[in-house]
Amino acid sequence: MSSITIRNFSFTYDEAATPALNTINFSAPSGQIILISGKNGSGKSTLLACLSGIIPELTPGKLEGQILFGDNSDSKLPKDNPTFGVLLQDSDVYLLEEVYEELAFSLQNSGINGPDLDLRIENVTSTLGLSGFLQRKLRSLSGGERQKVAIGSALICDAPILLLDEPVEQLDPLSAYNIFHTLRELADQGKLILVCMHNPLIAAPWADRLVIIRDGELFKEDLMTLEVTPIQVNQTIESFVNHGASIEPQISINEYPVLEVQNLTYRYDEQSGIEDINLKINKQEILALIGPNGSGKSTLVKHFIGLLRPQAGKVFVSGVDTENIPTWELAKEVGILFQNPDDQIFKATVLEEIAWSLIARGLPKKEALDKARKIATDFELEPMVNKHPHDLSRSLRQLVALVSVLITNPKILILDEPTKMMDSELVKKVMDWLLEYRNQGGTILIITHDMTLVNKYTDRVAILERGRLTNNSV
Amino acid sequence: MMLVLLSILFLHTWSVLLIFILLSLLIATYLGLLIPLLKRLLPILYLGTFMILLHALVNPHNQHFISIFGVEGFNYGLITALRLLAIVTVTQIFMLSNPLRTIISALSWIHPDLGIVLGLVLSILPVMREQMEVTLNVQRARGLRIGKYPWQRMQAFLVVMIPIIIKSLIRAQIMAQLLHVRGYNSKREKRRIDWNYTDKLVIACGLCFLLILVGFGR
Amino acid sequence: MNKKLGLTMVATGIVINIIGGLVATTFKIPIFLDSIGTMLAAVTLGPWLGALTGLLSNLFLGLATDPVNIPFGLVNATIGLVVGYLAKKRGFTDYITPLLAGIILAFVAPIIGTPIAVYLFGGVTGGGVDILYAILLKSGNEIFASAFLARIPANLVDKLLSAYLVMAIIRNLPQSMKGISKGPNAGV
Repeated sequence: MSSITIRNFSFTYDEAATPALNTINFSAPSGQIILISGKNGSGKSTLLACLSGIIPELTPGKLEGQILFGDNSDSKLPKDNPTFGVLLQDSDVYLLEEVYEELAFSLQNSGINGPDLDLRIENVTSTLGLSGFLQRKLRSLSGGERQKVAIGSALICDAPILLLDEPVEQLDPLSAYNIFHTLRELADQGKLILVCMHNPLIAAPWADRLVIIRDGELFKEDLMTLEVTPIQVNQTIESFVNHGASIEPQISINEYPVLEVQNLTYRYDEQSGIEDINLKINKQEILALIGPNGSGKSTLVKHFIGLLRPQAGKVFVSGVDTENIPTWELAKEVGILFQNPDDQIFKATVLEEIAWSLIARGLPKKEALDKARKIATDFELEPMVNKHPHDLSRSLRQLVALVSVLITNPKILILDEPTKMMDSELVKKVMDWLLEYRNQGGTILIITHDMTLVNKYTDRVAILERGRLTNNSV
Repeated sequence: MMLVLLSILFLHTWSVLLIFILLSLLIATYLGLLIPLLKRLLPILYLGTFMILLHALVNPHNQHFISIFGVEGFNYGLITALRLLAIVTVTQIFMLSNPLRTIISALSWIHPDLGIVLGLVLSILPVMREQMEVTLNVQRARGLRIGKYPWQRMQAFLVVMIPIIIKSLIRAQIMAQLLHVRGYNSKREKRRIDWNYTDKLVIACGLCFLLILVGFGR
Repeated sequence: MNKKLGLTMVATGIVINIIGGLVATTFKIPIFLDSIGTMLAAVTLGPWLGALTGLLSNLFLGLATDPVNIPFGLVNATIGLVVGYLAKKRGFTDYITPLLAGIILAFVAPIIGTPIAVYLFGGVTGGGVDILYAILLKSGNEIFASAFLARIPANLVDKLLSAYLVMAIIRNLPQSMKGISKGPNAGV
């Protein structure tokens, strides 16, 4: 059967000073959806890993206490039919090339093949809205589509217990709604479903119980204490624009364009790229560039640093045509922060990583390290200066990447979704710092999906849709 | 195909090799693969010519000379080049007529784990290639220059490779977790080989071919 | 070392080999740098799995591009064996072991590779090594000896650099991944 009982359970990672999970007591019968909430790093994923057996089989550490399943008084699981369907937090990691293979994998491991296999795959894909995706390569899918495939892999074995870690992180609100609807049906049929979410609001209407993990300890909470807002299925650019941008238009301090494109065109192929863009960004202005995924925002900004060269039109930085200027030279004026800090981190300590941006420009090592130390203190990174960046949370890694851009004191700053991975307190700190930077003469171009951010901090908005600017409100 | 390759080992004279190659080219034309085959053979042709040249000039066994070119070296170069050409031709025909994925799934009859490892490689490789481009761009935007001198380029190598390596190691860990939660075990089907009629015929022909060529080689 | 992690590490090693070679070519670096993955696998999984990684790398590369790569898988496998045994005996986190690995491999790799290169290519590579090769031949040395000696310098640099890179990576792994660096017998 599908129930879980956890008694006095603790777990400490190898070589860790304090337990990651501390004396957890918890039980859940079948037929329920249980939300597990908590900040990043609180232990939610660790708990799921202990349940699914990843700990201790793949990750060593010290276990104490008991985890019991169903009727078995033994914590070793029956091998024949999988007891768990598991969704890991990072759904951009997958095993096989094509959607069909990826979904078939778990079934093949249970010895299921042939027409039965195909039938089950069909069922899962139609439930998740993935019909027609079977021959596609996972690499070519969007993040949300990949997440659905991962969910499919978890559901396909029809296991009695489901352990899902952030199942809707990359999904749009409508897809998220459908997923929870499906989960509810599965729970009503008798499955036990545990869902980890650092922001459980969306799931709250569907769940039976909520527990919170804080610093490795489990606290039961009342679902009603969450401010359950109606699911905002329509939070899109359109609604933002239609409700009248509530931005206070501000006259620029200078009418001096530091970034400018004229008739810029760059097409990857028929469907994607940008066309005939005319945009000016003035000194000490904070411009938000918004638009749906794939509209060409990253394509546009890459021109300012010379990573892409115009197929037609011109690009100007600080009034100078960028045509023959190499990227490293443009990097002196323009600092650009990309979306994923893990694409660039390569040093073993935070300090060295931050300092590298200066060392790459020829600054002697000692001086670079000193400057790095100073700016780290400005950003309250002092205690983490000797830690390995990959031992920090995603949120902090993004901060490290940001600081390594800021250390070079660029006059112009381009930020691609700088706050996407950050916790809300950090976001406020960073934005305040950016305002200060602007007041001291800097210019900022920020790409974001966060409308509250746009509202509060930016002067102007440019909207990019399908490669064209549609609205350039001043 | 393996048998054909083996037979090449027995061939000694350049004339026989030439005939062999022409035969292979004919088969390729029959299969409609002549143009792509020739494209792939071109670099080998260049290399072969270079080989012949080098050996004609400096092979230590050179005793008889026609102007500056030694006969023994030329012979040696020629035979080696032709042999290389023959091997590559045969293998490329094989490759061109069988897509990579089929070959890889056929390999899982040796051991199911082998099939999985190669399947993983097929899925990781494009991800890491993309990562290479992304990381290169990102680091360039931070100020990386690929200089003229080898040590500068080595530095650039490190700056790009290290994030890639770290990402792949992390990815390896997560994939191991995926293997676990998706129940990877030895119950997976070992792809059995179906020896049907065509396969038996092909193998028989291969054996005959081998014997004939051994005879030629004596 | 858990079997599943072993499988994914071998696959990852193969990919790192291939990408390493690709980046080296793209940046026009005159050495191979295509055995980093083999060495990583050898250090973390042991000599036999390291050798397997090397062998499969060439097999995969051969199947995907040019089948002449396949026999050189023996060289790559040997790299795995050597590095694996060294790592087992001495660990790979000090400064001497990579040096040993580099020096040993500078001779062992050509020993295995030269016969293959001579049989298939007459010892010719189409690269810079050929100049050295031609000079040695001209001075009257035998084909095998010349090809062997010509290959030592490039191999020395390549293997030393790769070994030190692997050492640096293993030493500087983040806390969450330290388990890998302990080698094949950890956590069993």
